Amino acid sequence: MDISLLFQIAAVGILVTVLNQVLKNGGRDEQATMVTIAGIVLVLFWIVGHIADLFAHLRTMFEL
Amino acid sequence: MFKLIGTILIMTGSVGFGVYFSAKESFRVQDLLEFKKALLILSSEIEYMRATLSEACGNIAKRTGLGISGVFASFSHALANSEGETAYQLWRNAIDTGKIFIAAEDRAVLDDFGKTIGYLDKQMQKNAIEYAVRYIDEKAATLQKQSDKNKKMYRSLGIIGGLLIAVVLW
Repeated sequence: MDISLLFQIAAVGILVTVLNQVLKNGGRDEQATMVTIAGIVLVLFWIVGHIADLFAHLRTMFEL
Repeated sequence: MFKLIGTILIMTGSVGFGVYFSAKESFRVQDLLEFKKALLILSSEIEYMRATLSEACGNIAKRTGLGISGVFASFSHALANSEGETAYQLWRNAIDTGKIFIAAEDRAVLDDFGKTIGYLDKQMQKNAIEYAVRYIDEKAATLQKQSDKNKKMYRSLGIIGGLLIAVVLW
């Protein structure tokens, strides 16, 4: 796994949090929620393949 | 190297968008106030000068600034050279083609005002102008309150949004 993915996820987390705060302060709660959900979905897309790999490794490791 | 150039381009674009949207709010207030000035002049022209609509709008075009002057100039020109179109059609054309920063709701009020242009008597015109001026007063007061908060928000959104896109595409 490329380590830069971790940094990317961290950066997205920080930026989405800041965006969320800025939008909430501007009275746009709905958009703030949408941005948060979009961030979560984006990161999930990135890591879903790696999670599948992890489970595959676990299966082979424990011969399940 | 290409990634860096791409990031710089994305950042420039998104910061530009942020600055544009924050400036658009104050442009809208400025345009509305300028419209108010124009309507007050029109009201006086109707009351005291008894000028024709085309002449009155020509005079207003000379006395107002920003894009409003262009709207009244083109309306005046269109009225002078009209070939059977109603004043309302010409007014709509002038508003639609003018370089002004008003929102859809302002456009609707000005559109309503356009429907009464050149219709019935002097009092009717004055009432329509009064109604539009009252709307502009209320709207400008509300917008100015929101404006400062929104300006900061749009700028931060531009910067953070740009960073987010750059990180996602890296």
